[in-house]
Amino acid sequence: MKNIFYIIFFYFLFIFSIIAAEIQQIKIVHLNRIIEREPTIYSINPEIINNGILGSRMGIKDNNTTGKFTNQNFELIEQNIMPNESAKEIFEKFRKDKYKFFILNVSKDDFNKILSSDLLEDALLINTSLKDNDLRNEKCNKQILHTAPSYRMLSDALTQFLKKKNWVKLLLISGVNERDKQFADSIKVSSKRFGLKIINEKIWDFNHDFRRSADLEVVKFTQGEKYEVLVLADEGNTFGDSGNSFGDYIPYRTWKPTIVVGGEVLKPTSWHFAHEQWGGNQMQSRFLKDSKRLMTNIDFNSWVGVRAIGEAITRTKSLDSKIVLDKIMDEKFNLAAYKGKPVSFRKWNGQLRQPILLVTPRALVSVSPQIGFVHPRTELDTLGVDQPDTKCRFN
Amino acid sequence: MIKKIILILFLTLIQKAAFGEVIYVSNEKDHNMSVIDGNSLEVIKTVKVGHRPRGIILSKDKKKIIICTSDDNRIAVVDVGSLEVEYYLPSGPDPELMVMDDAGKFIYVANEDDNMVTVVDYIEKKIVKEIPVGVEPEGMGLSPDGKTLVNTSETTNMAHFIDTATLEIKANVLVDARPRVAQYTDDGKFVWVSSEIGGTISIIDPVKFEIIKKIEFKIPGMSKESVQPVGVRLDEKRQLAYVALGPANRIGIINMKTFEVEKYILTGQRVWNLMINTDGTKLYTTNGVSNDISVIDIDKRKVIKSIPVGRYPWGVAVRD
Repeated sequence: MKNIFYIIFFYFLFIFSIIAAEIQQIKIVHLNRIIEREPTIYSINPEIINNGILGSRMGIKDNNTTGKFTNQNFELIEQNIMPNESAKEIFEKFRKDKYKFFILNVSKDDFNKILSSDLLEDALLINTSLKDNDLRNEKCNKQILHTAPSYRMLSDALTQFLKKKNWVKLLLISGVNERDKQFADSIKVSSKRFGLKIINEKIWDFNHDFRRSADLEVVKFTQGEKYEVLVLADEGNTFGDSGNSFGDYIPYRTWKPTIVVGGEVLKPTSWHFAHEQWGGNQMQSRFLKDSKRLMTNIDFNSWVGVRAIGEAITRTKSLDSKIVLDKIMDEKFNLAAYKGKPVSFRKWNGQLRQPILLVTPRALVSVSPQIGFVHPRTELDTLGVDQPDTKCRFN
Repeated sequence: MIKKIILILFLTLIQKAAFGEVIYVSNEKDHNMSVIDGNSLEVIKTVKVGHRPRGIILSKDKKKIIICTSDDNRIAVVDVGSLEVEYYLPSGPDPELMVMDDAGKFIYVANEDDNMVTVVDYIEKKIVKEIPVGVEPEGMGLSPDGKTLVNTSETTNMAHFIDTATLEIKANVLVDARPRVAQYTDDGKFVWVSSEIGGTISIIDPVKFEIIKKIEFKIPGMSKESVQPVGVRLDEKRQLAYVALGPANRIGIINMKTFEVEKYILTGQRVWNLMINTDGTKLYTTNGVSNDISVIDIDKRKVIKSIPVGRYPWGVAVRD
């Protein structure tokens, strides 16, 4: 009698273990750097809460609708890194617990420190906010994918548009921080690539509150310059995209009637809430319904990162990060990202190749690559550093 | 006598006009439907139907035009005689594409924003059931025996096979990115599924639930990314499939036996959906960016006319 009981017991234990084994659990960690916000010139832009995290949440939800049919369950571990905390220590804590998949919305300093960790090993990292060109070139790493477009992709997207309009004489005004400088440098390279001419460059280093005096300052600043378009290199106060510094005060205050691009005025970006083509409105309304706010570019970069991991795991059924990464880098791997063309990753530097939107604060103006810019592989590779020019060497 | 002949001629003409082919096109951005006379190939009327009309079919008795008005979250039913909206059917949120069973009783509706397939009783005018599927359900195909419904979900990248008796999902097949349209062959042995972003057509065996063949498109001078298959129509008589290729601005003609692409035909811009007429002589395509429809002579394999319609023409239905 006792034997029969044991047999039944082990039988059920066996069955349950099979059922449990059938559902694959996938955990993705989203690390989100919290920064002390610098005072902006005029704080009309409220801080975007959970910027990026809400995109990852939607990615997990989308992965799980597929997962429910493929017996896979995705879970998001959200971790804020407070201003006094170390991103590296938090990253290592997760690594000790064997987490492999990471979505990163961190500062460049955090990023470099995470990369220097001895526990990096086979972790797969997705950069959703840093646009730095060097991370895609000399400082590249084969375990990192970039869903954030690089400065070069953004400057190429903007200059292609200007070239298409035949507005080719530029006055370049840059801010003084490191990101402003990187964007300005990229604009110079892009201008050369697409045949635009930078007539003059100026640095905007006025650091006082010029809400009241902007009229006068900007008039003088732009007086006597012979240009067609004024290009701003104004990447704001923080990494990612929250809050801008001087660019908003340039339009309408110039010496002559001037088209101003760059900054927030006409911004090249991976996503904007005004984008509704190619099913984009489905994405926007789904996000708004779940998140109760509009979708940002960092949300999009996070969403597409989580989707890339999800799609690769759905198709390989593997949790081995090397196999997942190989799948993502496969030439045939692509994702539908509501941008009219499939998006995929460049195998030479891990950068997501994608169309770039050119937007005003409330409207979509154009989408690059512009028609007429051709490439033997795909038009999308007219944006950013191409394979022959890359300084990235994966080892 | 002459008067009589003229009268007879006149009457025949009227009759021809009255009983000729009529084409109905839903215009997504204009909130209306263009009605086109099949003989003159001119727009004869534009009918307001509701916000963001997309999927459009005829009732089985061919007396009503049934249109998903996505932003109104309902289905408009238009009488083919009066060309006015007669009544509305409930559809669940954001209806996009639909298919009606042969008995003309049930309409299966894909609710794009709601991740559901809604089953609507056309006679009783009410919702019978909502079936949860993947993210952004879109394509709807019914097997010839009416026992299986195939629904594709754009973001989940799957074709869901639904048993129409139990209204439960019985199998899921992963296909390439952003599947749009599903079509059964007449013998029920294959299902053709287009993947817009993947750029392929998957031919699925609906018994084994396996992909038996993937068709890719190579158009000289055009990047792979711009070839985006959406609409699929199967010409059983000629054993040819017609596939609308979106921003490639072409349709592909595929041999259904060899699965080879035989020819590409240039159409208007961003060609999405298409329809073969009843006698199988013409193919009509909706071109979303150039705001027109292309009329293709199937035997000559040539566009014989472009007809300007409203903005963002989306779906097309034909009545003989």
